[in-house]
Amino acid sequence: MVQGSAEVVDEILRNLDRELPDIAAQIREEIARGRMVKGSKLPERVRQDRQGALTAQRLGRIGENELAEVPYTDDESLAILCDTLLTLARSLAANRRALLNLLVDHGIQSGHVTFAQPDETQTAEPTSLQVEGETGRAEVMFGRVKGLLGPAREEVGSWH
Amino acid sequence: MALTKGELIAAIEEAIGALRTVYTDAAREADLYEAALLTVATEAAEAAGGDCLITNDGVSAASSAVFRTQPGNLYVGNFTYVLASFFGGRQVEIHLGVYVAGKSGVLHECDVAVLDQKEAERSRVGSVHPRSSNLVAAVEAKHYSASPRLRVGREFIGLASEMGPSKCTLAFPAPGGSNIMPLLAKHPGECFDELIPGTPPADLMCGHITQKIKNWINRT
Repeated sequence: MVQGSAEVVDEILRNLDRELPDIAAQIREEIARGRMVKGSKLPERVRQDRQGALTAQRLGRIGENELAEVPYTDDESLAILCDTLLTLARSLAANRRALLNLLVDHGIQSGHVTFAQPDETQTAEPTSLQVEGETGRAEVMFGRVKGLLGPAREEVGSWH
Repeated sequence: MALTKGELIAAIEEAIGALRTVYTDAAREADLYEAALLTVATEAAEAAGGDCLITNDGVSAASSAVFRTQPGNLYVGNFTYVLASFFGGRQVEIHLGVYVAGKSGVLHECDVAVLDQKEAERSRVGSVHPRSSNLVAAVEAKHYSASPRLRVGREFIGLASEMGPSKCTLAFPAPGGSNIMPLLAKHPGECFDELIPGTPPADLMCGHITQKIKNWINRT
């Protein structure tokens, strides 16, 4: 268990809102959703509380296959946050590496990839990517992110 | 030794700073993810015995690659695609971000579309959209680093019912959550979570598309 993990999550999400807002939104959504479990897999205390509420109003028992959501603990939320950033870092590096390998394997000499809008009436300029340079930078970044988040991730434990 | 709260925050914020040196915006990273999945589909075509040409005109090798940022008509523009040629003369084309007509006659975007080459050629010659009946395989790419919401799964099921459920694959880099995965497990379209190029899920999807292409070759 990490001391103050709820405060860490809050503070980091506020930072992410400024730096990587779409990633912050994905993490918030995942945390807010909670984990869906079958009735038989509800944590004992949660099950007792919910069963108590049903029993008080004579609404029957929680069935083994009924579905319910359980909020993530603060540590689990922190683990989701770290895992999301690690996944993003790994994906950014691997996507560029895959593209670079495609260019090299098929003899595309320029080493550039351009992304352009298909509709000529659109005004956005095409963007060009120097894939080799981008791949190198992304792989350095991934190594750095892994080194920084690895110790934190180990401390938090698993949320799966 | 346990990290203090301050150390933990500092480490994560430094990691975010490192990410910001590469990550520009969601749209560009989504484009790059789709392009990376095109490479997986290309490997699948090669594993099925195909000889792959990266081309802008269907004849010569491309000198540089140009991909769509948004879905477009296959027959408009000189965008890069993969032409895979198989023993016996059969060919497929692998395109990024093209519209394909579904069973209802409505157009849908295919992030990665593996098409019978004759259907793609028909599209170019007649300025008509390729039809899902001649789609060999399609990949719906979602560049989510956290588990996608349930709506993504529902939309995929809708797309798959239009394109042919067994032809469609959903892929995203995050581990699938406890809501979307049970939903998709009950449908014939395949979902590959944790799909990052160079990892075992990418190999699994590659094998899946390879089999789709092999089945198509053997059927036709």
